[in-house]
Formats: sequence, C-alpha cells, structure tokens
Amino acid sequence: MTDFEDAVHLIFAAETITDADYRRLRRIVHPDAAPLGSEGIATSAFTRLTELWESRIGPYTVLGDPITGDLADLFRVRSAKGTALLKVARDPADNDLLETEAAVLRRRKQKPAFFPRLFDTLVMDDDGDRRAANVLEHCAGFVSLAEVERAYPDGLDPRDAAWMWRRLLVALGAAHRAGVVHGAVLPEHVLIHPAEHGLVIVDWCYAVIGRGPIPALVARYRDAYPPEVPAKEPATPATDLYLASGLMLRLMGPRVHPALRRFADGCRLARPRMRPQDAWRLLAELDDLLHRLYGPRRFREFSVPA
Amino acid sequence: MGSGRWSTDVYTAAENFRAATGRSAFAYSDSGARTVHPSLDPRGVTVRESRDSAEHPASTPIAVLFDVTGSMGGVPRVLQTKLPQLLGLLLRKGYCTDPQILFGAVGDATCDRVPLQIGQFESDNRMDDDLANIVLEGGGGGQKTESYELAMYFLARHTDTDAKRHGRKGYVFLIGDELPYRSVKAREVRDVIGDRISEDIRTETLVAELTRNYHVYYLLPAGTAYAGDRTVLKRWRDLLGENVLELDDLDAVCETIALTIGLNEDTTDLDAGLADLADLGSSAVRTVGKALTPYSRAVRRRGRPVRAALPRSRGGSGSVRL
Repeated sequence: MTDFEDAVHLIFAAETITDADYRRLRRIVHPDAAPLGSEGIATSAFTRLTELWESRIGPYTVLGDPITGDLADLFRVRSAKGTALLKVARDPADNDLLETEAAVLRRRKQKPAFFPRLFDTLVMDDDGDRRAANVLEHCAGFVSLAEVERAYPDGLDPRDAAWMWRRLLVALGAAHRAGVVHGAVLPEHVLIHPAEHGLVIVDWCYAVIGRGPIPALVARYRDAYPPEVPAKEPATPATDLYLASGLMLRLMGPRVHPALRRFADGCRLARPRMRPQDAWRLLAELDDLLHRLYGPRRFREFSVPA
Repeated sequence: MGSGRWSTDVYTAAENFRAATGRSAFAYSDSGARTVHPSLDPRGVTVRESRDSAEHPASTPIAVLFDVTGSMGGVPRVLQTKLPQLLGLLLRKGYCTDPQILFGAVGDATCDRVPLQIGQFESDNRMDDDLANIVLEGGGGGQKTESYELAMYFLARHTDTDAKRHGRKGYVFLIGDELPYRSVKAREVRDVIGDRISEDIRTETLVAELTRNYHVYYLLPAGTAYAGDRTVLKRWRDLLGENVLELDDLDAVCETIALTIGLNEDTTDLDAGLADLADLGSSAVRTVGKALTPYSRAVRRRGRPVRAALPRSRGGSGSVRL
C-alpha cells in the first residue's frame, strides 16, 4: 500500500487519534496533496480526521452520544490509558456537586473496591461557561439496580436480594468509616455484577464529608428520602441505611419475606436516632436473620436478562 | 456594583492629594472613628453583588478581607498601601477577566467594636475609598482567635455573583494570623449582620458552603504575632487544604494574590508569572515563588480548564437544591 492508502485506511479504522498521528495524517490526506484522481477519498478522509480531532477533550476522545444522568451527562471516552466515563455537570450551578464526588473518591483512593476509581478531574470551558467534569472508571459488566428492577418487574427473589443487601452494607460501612455519607442510595446509583456478585456504589455527588446536611436530592425519588434530608438536618450513616433498606424493599416488591420487611422497617423509622447507626453491625444482624430464614449461605446464580 | 473603569490617573491624583494634604490613607480611622463606616456596615445588607455588564461581560469577583486586630501589628497599614495596586496588576497582566474587587476587614465579634467591615465589589476607584474607610481595631481578644467565620458567613449568604451562573468561581482571600472560631454564633450573626438563624453553624459547614462559589485562600503574612504558628497553619490547612499560603514579605501581597488567581485561571504558569513580576521590577519574585510553588503543583494536579463544546442533553438539573 502507498502512504496515502495506508493513511486513509488508518483514519477510517481509528476511534481516537493522538496529536502526533493527527499532524502526520493531516499532511498525507490533505486534499491539496492527494494523488491525482483520489481527491474525493482524500476529502472524506480529511473530514473524518477532523471529526476525530474535534471529538477530543484534553487527552480524551469522546465515543458516541451521552447517557443522561440526573444532573450530569456521561460520555464514554478513550485515552492512552484505556476507556473511562467522562461525567460533566449539565448545569454549571451543579459544579460543586461534581467537586464533592471528586473529593470523596480521592479519599477512597486507597481502597477502591465498592467505589469507582477517579482518574481525573477537568473543567470544561464552553465559551465562558465552565462545567466541572470527573473522569471515572467505567465499571464494565456491571448493571444498575434500576435495570435489575426493570428486568424483574414482579420483584426479586429475596435470596438474590440478600447478597446485594449484604454487599451494599459492606460498601456503606466502608464509606461511613471514612467519614462519608453517600446521601443518595437509589436504584441508579448501585451497580452490581450479576455473575460475580460484585457491587459498586456510584454517583457520590450528593455525599456529605464529615457532618452537614445533604446538599440536594434527586427529584424523581423525592419520596424515597428520610425526613432529615428535606428538613436540611445533618445526614448520618442512618440516612444511608434508611435509603438502602428502602431500595431493597423496592427491589423485592411483593416477593419480600415478612421477616425481611420487618427488618427493613426497623431501619426506616422517621427519627434518625431511632435507626441503626452502623452498617457493619447491621450486616451481622441481617446475616443472623438470613441464616434463620434460609440456612447456611450458598452461592446462587444470578443474571439480568437484557 | 462593579461598573466603571479603573483610572490610574484618578487614583494617582487622589494619592497625591492625600500626600499633599498630609491625610493618612486610613483617614476615617485616624480621624478617631471607632464605629464602622456606613459604606462598610454589614448590618441589614441584603447582598453585595458582582454583575456582568456590557463593559465587564465576564466578571470575576474577588474579595480580600484582612484582620485589623492588634496581633497583626503594622500589617493592616501596609496592606492598605499595597492593595490598591491589585486591580491594576490583574488588569495589566490579564490574569482574570473583568476583576471586581471587594475589600473588607475582620475583627473579633466577642470583644471588638467593629468585628466585620465589608465593602462592595467594585471595578473602579470606589474600592480604594472602601479601603480608606476601614477602621483599624488594634484590639483583639488575645486568644489567638478572630471572627473569620463571621466574614465567611457574610460572603456565603450575602453575596451574589453572575460568575456563579456561568459555573465560574470567585475568589476570597483572608489575610490574617489567627484561628477562626469553631462555629459562627447565631447571636453574633444577629447583632452584626442582622440575620436570624436558628442555631450556630460550624465553621467547616460554612467553608463548604462558601467554596461552592469561591476559591477560598488564607494568607498568613510574616511580621504578625502568629506568623509561622503551627496551630494556626494546621487549622487553616484542615479547612482549606493547599489554599493556605505563607507570605514572607508583605510588600508582595498583591503579586501573590494576582499570581494565585492567574495560576488558578490557567492564564499563566508559575515561571511565566514570576518572569512577569521580574519584568515589572518587582522585588517580590523570590517570596512569591516560595509562597506559590506548592500551590502551583496542586493546581496542576487538579486539572485545568479545557476548551470543549460538548453536546448537552436537554433539561437542566434533575436534582433539587436543599
């Protein structure tokens, strides 16, 4: 193949482009420099190359259209280090929430299990409007509990919900020990790996580090929150435990075992002080209950039909 | 506020006039005034505003508040003579767009007559008038604590900026040598500012609220009672992280502030900024370099503004602010 054919081939096969490749290929496929008779192909290769170049943000290339989150747009991006998720505040007024997420995940850097890794933070400048962005680990193979809920409209078998509940409590316990309250334990924010029974809590935008009220609530789930959140009272681990128990009830729906319902109700009392305060202790209680209901723990295959 | 144009000529003229008439730059204070000047009284103020205008389409609000209590020694007077240079320096070097500067002063609400003085965001000579009207307390409680948290409360709840609407933060520089109180007292907020709040607010909570809209810095200058004090530095670092700067030479205060803004806005880097200073004939190059080297590393770690026109999906935020 000639240099020209080589370049055209490369351009149409590429999903991303480096600085050096861009400069090199640009010279070769520039329509003015194209071999006689190849002006047409040169023009389309040049257009494609420009597209590749313009889809770059700093060191990242955007792949495809955004996924719409509650307050951010999420783009799959690729960099020299691999693929990741670029999460950009839709409204500059929410920049502080993205900054909170970055601050939380930086704290959690040492123990990344249960939390997505934070690779980078950016500020996008679009004609004077600045939007905060976090570059996060793309949790491949994970699905959200919102998707699980859609896949099991009649409710989840409590024995399947059990491992999710257990891991959710472990993850929350780890966050609480680090002095962080998640503040939005909702279906979209808990991801599971169906086959490996993994769990990751995402979207730390609503979190509270230390003590203080939760800064914002997700409008669609207003009813899921405990009373201290709209009352702007300080969030505590009990806030997360209320939300987590509510989420589990929601997933099991009509299939919930009455004993598990009572257990969850005991975590959802109106006064935070009357609820359990420690996720890991609550896990021990839950384990006792699960043992009484279902005997020794056994691994159950789980899948989420598309 | 914030309209008008900085005129060096008028400033110089005012300066010359002061020199000729032998009036101190702190004329209000030195005339014996011991109460807050009406233009700087925080009581009953709804908001101090920083607005965009045809003249200033991309305003950058900057608040500079300094401790005026006795522990600061002669520092407040030096600041008063240096700070008028800040706006000109920012404009000349282009470190940020359309700066609008508010000057203010912090005292001790537990024992001072004038615990908080706060001007307007200005982009002309009026900021210099505000500086001249600041009362120097010279008191202070002698317990290594001043009411910085009261100032932060005011800035968090009583300022409104157009920059915020564009996702751009303003800047707050607190210059002092002591600790903030652990929380802002509801009673002091009522007495000094006039707001009725139901309970005291922890200083950490206020810092979190203030940093939503401002980059907040603490500058500890040499020549003050607690310069280099470990307890003071540690407390502020716990609150503000790398945004705590030690300043060896008070003469360099404007350069330090300007370059901090420039680094953060990504309009300059440390080497270029220091070269700028050397070009200006500044004697502050070394001290600014020393103060800002760790900070510039932190800025690089945090990431810089990237120009990008990403598609935005429709609809605003799906979250409700509490």
